[in-house]
Amino acid sequence: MSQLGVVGAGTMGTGVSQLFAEAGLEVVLVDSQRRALDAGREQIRTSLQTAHLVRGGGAKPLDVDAVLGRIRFTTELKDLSGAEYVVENITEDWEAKRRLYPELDDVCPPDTVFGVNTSAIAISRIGSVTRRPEKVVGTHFMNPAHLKPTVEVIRGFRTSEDTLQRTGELLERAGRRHIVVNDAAGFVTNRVAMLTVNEAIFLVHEGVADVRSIDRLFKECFGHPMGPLATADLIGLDTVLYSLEVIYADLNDSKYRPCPLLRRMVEAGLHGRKTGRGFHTYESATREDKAHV
Amino acid sequence: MSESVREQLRQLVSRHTDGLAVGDDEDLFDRGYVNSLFVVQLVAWAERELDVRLPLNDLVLDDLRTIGAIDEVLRKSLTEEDAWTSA
Repeated sequence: MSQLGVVGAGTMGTGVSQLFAEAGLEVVLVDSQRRALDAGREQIRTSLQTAHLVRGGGAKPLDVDAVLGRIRFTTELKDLSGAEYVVENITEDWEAKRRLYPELDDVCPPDTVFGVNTSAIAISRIGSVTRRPEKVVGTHFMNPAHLKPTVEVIRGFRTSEDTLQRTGELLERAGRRHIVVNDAAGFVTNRVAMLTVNEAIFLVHEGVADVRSIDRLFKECFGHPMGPLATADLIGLDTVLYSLEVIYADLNDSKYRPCPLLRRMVEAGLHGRKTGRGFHTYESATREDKAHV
Repeated sequence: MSESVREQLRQLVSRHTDGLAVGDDEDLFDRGYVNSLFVVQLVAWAERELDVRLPLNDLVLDDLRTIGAIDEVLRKSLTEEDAWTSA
């Protein structure tokens, strides 16, 4: 692997770029917005500077400039013309993805694999808007990508064994394990997690318990590192809502109906950690919020 | 000065625990009050509110496990910065 492409410089795209740049790969990170790239670079820098603190196990400080030096930040999709593998992380919006993939198809060599980092959209559906559905695979990284040890890999209806193998090899290079599942809206993780998060929001909506109590119950009784509402804030409430809508539409199953409170909060601009406020409030809004100010 | 830093620090942590009071010697990570994201937030907060850049390369997570320990790191950094500015 000589070059990895990453599309989208949001939370996931920057995390994925950092992960592979740390593993020694040359990364081309593309975003249509220059300010998103600038903010992404700063996010990666801070993350690299604090990485040894949060990884434990005697981790040593990283050579921040060397890792950043392996990431090329660009607004030009055509800069992916040399990428052997592309991980796409743009916003969780089918229309945006439907427009992007044919462009990627034109820019990238025919053998390039497209790893789709999506929360819920079925991989086969994305494969269908490319000329290479056998080279489209789900690569569902968890946030923060540089800290999570395992990636959920989704085999689309037409994903080839060769594509799965190349995906496994790429992830192993970055020291990541993976678990392969078949294609379904939400896959395994979010099919369950979004339902849990949505139900926790219904509990707030119905006044059964307050936000803090719900999250404490999951942390202190179940030993979860975060409660469901803090998790929703981390994922982004807009992404949670969109994911629920995708699963709901795909399965036509009312148990995935988004809680009205979630919809109101998203409409009000309370998108969680990235805007400084969701179910909890946060010390500092991240770059995404600042970028919109 | 340092007491007010500790008080500010308590307030920062309490925002992460949604107001739940946390003892100065409680392990914030082991008790599940905060996770790895807190470290990034702490660094940003120290720069913005105290104008202090934490000596990240010299720190390990054990230096940041309790309010008391973080306070000590901040005190040291503040002293060093004062020394620099007065030099």
